[in-house]
Order: sequence, then structure tokens, then C-alpha cells
Amino acid sequence: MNTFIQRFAQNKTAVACLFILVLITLAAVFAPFIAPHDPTQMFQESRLQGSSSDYLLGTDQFGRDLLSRIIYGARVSLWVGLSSVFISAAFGTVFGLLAGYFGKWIDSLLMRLMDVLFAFPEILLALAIVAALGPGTSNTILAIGIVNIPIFTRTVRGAVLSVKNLEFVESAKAIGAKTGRILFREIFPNVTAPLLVQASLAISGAILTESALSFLGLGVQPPDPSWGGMISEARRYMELAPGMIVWPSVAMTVTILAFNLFGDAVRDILDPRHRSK
Amino acid sequence: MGRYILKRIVSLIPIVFGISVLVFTILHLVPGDPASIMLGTNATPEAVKALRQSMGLDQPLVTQYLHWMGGLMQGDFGVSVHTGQAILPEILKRFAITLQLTLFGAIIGWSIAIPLGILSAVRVHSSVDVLVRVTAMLGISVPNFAIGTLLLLGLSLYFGWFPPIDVVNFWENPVEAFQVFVLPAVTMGIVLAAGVMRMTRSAFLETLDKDFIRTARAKGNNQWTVVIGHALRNSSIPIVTIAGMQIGYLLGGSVIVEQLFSIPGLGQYILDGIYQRDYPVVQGGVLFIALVFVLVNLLVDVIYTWIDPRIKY
Repeated sequence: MNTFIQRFAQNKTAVACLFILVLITLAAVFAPFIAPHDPTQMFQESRLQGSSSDYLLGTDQFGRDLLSRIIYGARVSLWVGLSSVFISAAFGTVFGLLAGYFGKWIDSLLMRLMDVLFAFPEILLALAIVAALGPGTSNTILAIGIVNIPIFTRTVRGAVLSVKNLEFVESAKAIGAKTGRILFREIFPNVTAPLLVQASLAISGAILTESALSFLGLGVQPPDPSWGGMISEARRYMELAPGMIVWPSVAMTVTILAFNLFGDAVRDILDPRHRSK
Repeated sequence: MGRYILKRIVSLIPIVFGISVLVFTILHLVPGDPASIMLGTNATPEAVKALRQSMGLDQPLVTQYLHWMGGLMQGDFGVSVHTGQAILPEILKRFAITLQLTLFGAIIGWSIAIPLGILSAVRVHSSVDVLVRVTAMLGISVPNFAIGTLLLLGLSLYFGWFPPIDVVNFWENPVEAFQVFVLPAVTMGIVLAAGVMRMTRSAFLETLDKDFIRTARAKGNNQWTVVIGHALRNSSIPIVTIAGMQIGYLLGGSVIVEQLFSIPGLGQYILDGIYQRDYPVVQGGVLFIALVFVLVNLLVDVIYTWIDPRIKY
């Protein structure tokens, strides 16, 4: 673990991204204290304004402060990103451990199931699930969580297969350890590195999918601010107030970029085979 | 070769079966009664009952599934609750539009990405390489709807240009069709290019390190003979893989791009189905795209055996 922190500290990109991500997270957590206005409060007399000292990034068609909405939007994006990845990782880990360790019919059954989930373009499956459950933040989390289970299952299964025949597993069996103990105490620690890499890469994808669903009006529902929803609403006013499109796009790109670069860096550090050339 | 393709097709049967079960299950998980949701709150109980009966919702789920499946086998995707028209002809009509758009986008994406990816690998660590990597990283980090909206914004603000709204057939009026499709296709192409560029670069970097490339260079071949003649085919497996996957994502992403640019393709049909709670339409459309995705993957596997004759199954 110490070598991980050392290598991490030497990787400038990783440190810079972590810094940005911490900033975004802090802004999201402390949104009520940082945001200059209530994100849903309408200042009727100052609609569709450009930047000013009152409204740093301008206002939207109802006179709501864009900066405040973007800060609250970070809350939504991070919450959906993290919690949906948590769902995918939890199910993926259990499925991957079972499939990899037990093999045989359990493996075939689980992996065929994953093949079926994999047979859909991500956004389409998420769309179908949201169509059935109805729009809203928690259904969006659930939909994105389900869509990403297969990739975690494959990652974990692969890692399990590479260690399950090694001596330490054999010796655990030899001293009579129970299956649950072998799975979670012996094998699982060897799965954490690829799991962490996969999780850090999956968050950006989850945020992308959330924003797309919200853009289509099926994700986070108004008046709650979400970056995708803001861009969708802004299209009608794009010539009057281009900032309504530009600023949420910038916020989203910076966040996703930071997660992507962070994920790549973590992979380079944890997985020597992927070290970028 | 023929036997291999046949074997692959047979192995797809359980997947396709699974897909149909999944699509059916998801859209029958609708909380509440689909019939009363579709008809709204003012519907009389008789009307709801009649719709339930005509949709077969009063039957057990397994019966409903078998009935739907039986129809699918005969090319009957059911009828739209909203318009009362058969779903499959509408899907095919709209898929033609989506396919044109997707291919157009893919061609734009590939023709940017592959040459730049190769260049970036050949001139590794040069300023070109850095530029390509930064652009690619940005490209995978900006959502496609933001790219599309920003393109629209830029063109209308600075050039006062809007794409025409009416979709025309490419073969009838290529110029106008080009104008309609160019922005959405560029939007799709940018997202696709980013992924393909990254993959092309890393595949070439790996190949250019191999012994046979050193031999080819030692024989005195010039740079581009080595890169195109020797490295290209040996690097193409991962590139074809990602290209195939991306086609699938483009088909899924068409839902967003079509909505953004008001193009009446399959994606918009599905989306309208969702908005209007027209579940048979959603079910049919999602199933159709998933099947096309599976076929594209099959095609990719077949292309593998052509690229690398050592691949035997």
C-alpha cells in the first residue's frame, strides 16, 4: 500500500486529477454554503442574463443563478456516479467470485447472463430500464448500476481465475478453511487492485450516462439541477444566453476528464502491463 | 470458414433468446398496470379492461412471452398502442435513416482516427502525439449531446446556419441529405474517433516493437512501407474490435443524437415510445437494436479470421 501511495505521489497527472476531484467533491458536499443563491430560486427581473457580479455565470430562462445550479449539479452527478458504481461493483464482485471460484455450471450460467447484458449498447439498456421504472434519480442510479454489472463481473472473475490455483489458496483449503473464508479473506484481497481500476474508470461512464438520460428528460427531474438537464433546457435559448450551454458543458467535461485521467493513472500504477508508453 | 460462421450463429441462439427474455421482462416490470398508465387517469374501467385484453395483459406472463415470441418469429412485432400501426415496418423504415447516419458518422470517425492514431504511434512522444492524445482524451470526456449542442450553437451564432429539418433520402437528393446528416454525423464521429484513435495508437505501439518490424526495417524498407505493409494488418485486430463495438454504441447513441437534431430515426421512435408509454414500440425497438448489435459483433468475429488466418475455431 505504501508503494502505491509513493508511486501515486510521483504521478503528476494523478495528483492533479485527485486535487480537482477533491475540489469538485467539496463543492458538491458543501454546496449550500458555497453556492451564491438557491439553485431553484427564480429572480424574475433578471432572466437570461450574462455574467455579472450578482450572477457570476449568468442566469437561465427563469432567472435562476447558473453557478449555483452547476454547483448543485455536481452533487447529483457525483452521487449518481458513485452510488451506481457501488451497485455494479458489489454485484459484480459477488458474481465474479462465484463464477471464477466455482466454475462449472455456476460459471456458465452467470457468464451467459452477463453476455446477454453485454449485448445491449449501454445507454439503450439504461433507457429501457428507466422506461419501465419511470424517470427519477434513484431509478437512474439503479439503471446505470445494472448496466455496468457485467464489466465488473468479468474483471473480478478474471482476477479470481488467475489466483485460485495458487498455493496460498491450496494451503487455506488444506487447513480446512470454509469456502466463504477462502473467497473473501484469501481471494478477494487479490481482486481489489483490478476492481479499484475498473471502478475509477466506470465512474466517468456512469456520469456520462446519467447526463445523457437527464438530457433526454428521463434522468434527474426538474427543478433539481443536473448538468444534462440544464443543457437540454438551454437549447431553446441558446442564442440569447449561450452561457447556459457552455458552462454546464465545461463543468461536465472537467469532471469526466478528471475521472478518466485519474482512472488511467491508477491503472498505470496498479497494473504494470498497462504502463503507458 | 463457412462452418465457423455457422457455428458462431448457432452459439448466438441462447444469447438472442436471453435478449428477448430480458427485454420482455424489463418492460413488464412496469409498476402498476400498463394499460391504465397508457390510457391516462380519465379512462373508464371498461376501456382499460378492453386494452388489457387486446394487449393480452390478462394472460399469465409466460403465455404473453410465448405469444410475443411467436409473432416475432413471423416478423410480427405487434402494433403501436399510440398509432395502431404495425411496428416492424416502422422500425425498418426508421432504421434505414439511423443506419445511414451511423455509417456516415463511422466513416467520418474512422477516417480521422486511424491515420492520426498511426501517426501518433509512429512519432511517439512528438508534439503530434501529445496533441492527438489530448484531443482523444477530451473526445471521450465530452458527452455527445454537449458536442452536438455546442456545434449547433457555434454554427448558428457565428454563421447563422441551421441544418435543414426535413430528412431526405440520400440517393434522391445527396446535397440536401448531406446538409441534414452532416452535423449529427460529425457529432457521432467525434466521439467514435476518440476511442478508435486511442486504440489505434496503442495497437501500433505494440506492433512496432516486435522483431519482425525490426527485420523489415533492417532490410532497408522505408518508414511507410514498414508501417502500412507490415504493421497495419498485424495491428488491426484490436482496432477492428473497438470499431465494431463503437458501431454498436453509435446505434445506442443515435437515441440522443437523433433527439438533439430532430432526425426521425429508430432512436427517436424508441424515445417517443418511452414518452408516450407505448411499451410495444419500446420493446420492439430495443430488441431490434440489440439484435443488430449482436450481428455487428458476429461480423467482427468473421473479419478476425480474414485478418489473421491463424485464428481457428
